[in-house]
Amino acid sequence: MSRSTLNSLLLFGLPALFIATFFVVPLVNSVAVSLGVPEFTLAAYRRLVDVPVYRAVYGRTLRVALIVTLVCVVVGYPCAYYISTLGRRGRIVAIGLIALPFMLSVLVRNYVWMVLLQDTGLVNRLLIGAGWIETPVRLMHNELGVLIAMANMLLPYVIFPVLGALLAIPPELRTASASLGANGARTFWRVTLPLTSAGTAAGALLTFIVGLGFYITPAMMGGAREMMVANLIAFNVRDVLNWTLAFSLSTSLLASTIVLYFAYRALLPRVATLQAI
Amino acid sequence: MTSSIDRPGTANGEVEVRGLAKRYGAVDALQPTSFRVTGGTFVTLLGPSGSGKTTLLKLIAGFEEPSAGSVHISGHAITDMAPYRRNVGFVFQQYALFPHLTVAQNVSYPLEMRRMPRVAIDKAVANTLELVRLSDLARRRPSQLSGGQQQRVALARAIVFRPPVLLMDEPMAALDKRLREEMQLEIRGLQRTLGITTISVTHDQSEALVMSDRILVLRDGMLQQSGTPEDLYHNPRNEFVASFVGESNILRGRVENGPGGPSMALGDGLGIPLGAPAPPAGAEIVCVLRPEAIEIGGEPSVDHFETVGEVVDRIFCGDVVRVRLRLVGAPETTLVAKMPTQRRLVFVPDTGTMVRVAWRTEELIVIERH
Repeated sequence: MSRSTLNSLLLFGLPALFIATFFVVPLVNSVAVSLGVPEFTLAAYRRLVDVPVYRAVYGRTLRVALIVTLVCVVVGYPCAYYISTLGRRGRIVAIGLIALPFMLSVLVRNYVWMVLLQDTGLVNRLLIGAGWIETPVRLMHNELGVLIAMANMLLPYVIFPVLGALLAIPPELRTASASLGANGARTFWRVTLPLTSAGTAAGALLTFIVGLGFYITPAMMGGAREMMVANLIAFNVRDVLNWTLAFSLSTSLLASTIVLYFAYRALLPRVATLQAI
Repeated sequence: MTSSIDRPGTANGEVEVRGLAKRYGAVDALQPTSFRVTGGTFVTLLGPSGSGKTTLLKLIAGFEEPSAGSVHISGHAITDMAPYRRNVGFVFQQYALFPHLTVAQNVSYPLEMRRMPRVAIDKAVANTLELVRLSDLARRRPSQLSGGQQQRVALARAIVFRPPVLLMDEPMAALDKRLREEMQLEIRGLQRTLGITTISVTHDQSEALVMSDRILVLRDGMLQQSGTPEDLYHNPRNEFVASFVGESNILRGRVENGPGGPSMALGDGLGIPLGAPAPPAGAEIVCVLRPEAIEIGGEPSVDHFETVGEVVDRIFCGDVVRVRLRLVGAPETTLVAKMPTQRRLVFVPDTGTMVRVAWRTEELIVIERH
């Protein structure tokens, strides 16, 4: 065996071995456990469907991820559009500001939101101080708090793909549209929006996928009722030690993520084609 | 008015520019420029890069705001009008076709913006696609078309709404030579058929000569000369126009009055006769001699200026042979002559041989005097 083959074996082999040992084996094991191997039964999955609490948690998870995705698109698209109109320097600053929170731990960011949103938090004290409300508005320990914090954390997942799609549009397409009789609004609807739709869809799908798996934010910003699938898994693993159920929950979450991932991949070539033009 | 978009005037298509200027910071992209383009004619703005020709075109289209001056179409001032209200067709250098729309949808776009009924749109689009011979490709996307086809789509999209004025920014720059020559004639024919006032920008002098009724030569943001192609070629106003439009030999010297009438003394003393009216003796002048005006070899002739030169080199270009000559008595001056080629060339001067060099006196064009 030549030296270079040995090197590449080591280079690929060691990480592969590591992933196989600590990722693939436990994953296969958890899927197996959820299926009741060696008997093979779908009992655990049937419980997910039959027990109302589990159905409710699943439904809430999908709903929260969907609302967060919509909020992120509605807020993130104009934001990306604005950044795309900035000059080179302004754009770099804006991108830096958006990426900055990524450098903070999720835990810290949730605590920041708690400081802002709790009953005696900054927002409530400002509103009371301004005389707009008399008693604090409940901004956290409910679904609203979860939505606010999650939308904040997931916003970049929409902004960056949309920004990429916007910047890929040759500027003269808008000039051409104007020369053909379209004002700014019509140019946006007929040219800019269609050319960024694939990028926006990709960003939204990514946001939704990541949103499905949120764990810390629902735990900290929500109350006991705002439990999402990830929290339910943790609860089954740590508190009631129902590992079979925990594994069936995580397997179904993984399955829905994989389905969505392939939907995302199917969108990507369209984005790439548009950017190549 | 049938739509939200103003249609300036009854569209005789006359374009007038008065004192139009554009500054970017401290740089004058375009000095105050005035000219008038008669409706229905084809005018080319010719100049090297940085001459302000594209700036001028963008000012007419409204893509840039002028620092001074005004633009008028069919007698109406449109200087303050947004581009989308100007009703002017524009062909972009890179075509700027909408990649998400088919050929037919691209061409429909300006009509939809004018809220034309669907039936009328379909009819106008079909007619225009036929005009540019693209009917078969109506359902294709721009990315599925060749460069030449894309250019036709861009043209169709710019004329489908029958604008009184069509502007083109280096429309042939992205095409290869053969296709370019084909499209030049095709666009020229189309322009004549439609009678649409057209202003085209190019740095390609042969394109300007082939296509234009009139050429405006620009340099460093200043209009140098405007005229018909023939006029510009035969009567260039300055050295820049002479060297930019067609090929030319530039000769410098002082006017002297000799026994045979006024002549120009080249730096090294050779006297070249000048036609009438000649500048006064003692004036420093610049003259242009077109390469095809120079005869090499052959028999002496009474109405020609006769001299002898040495062949420095020869380049076979297909249709012509370019011969570089050094005149006897003026070793500092080299001239380029063009001889048409035939299969059996009567006379082939070899490098280093001495040959007869002659031209009619009136072929020497005096362009500058100091």
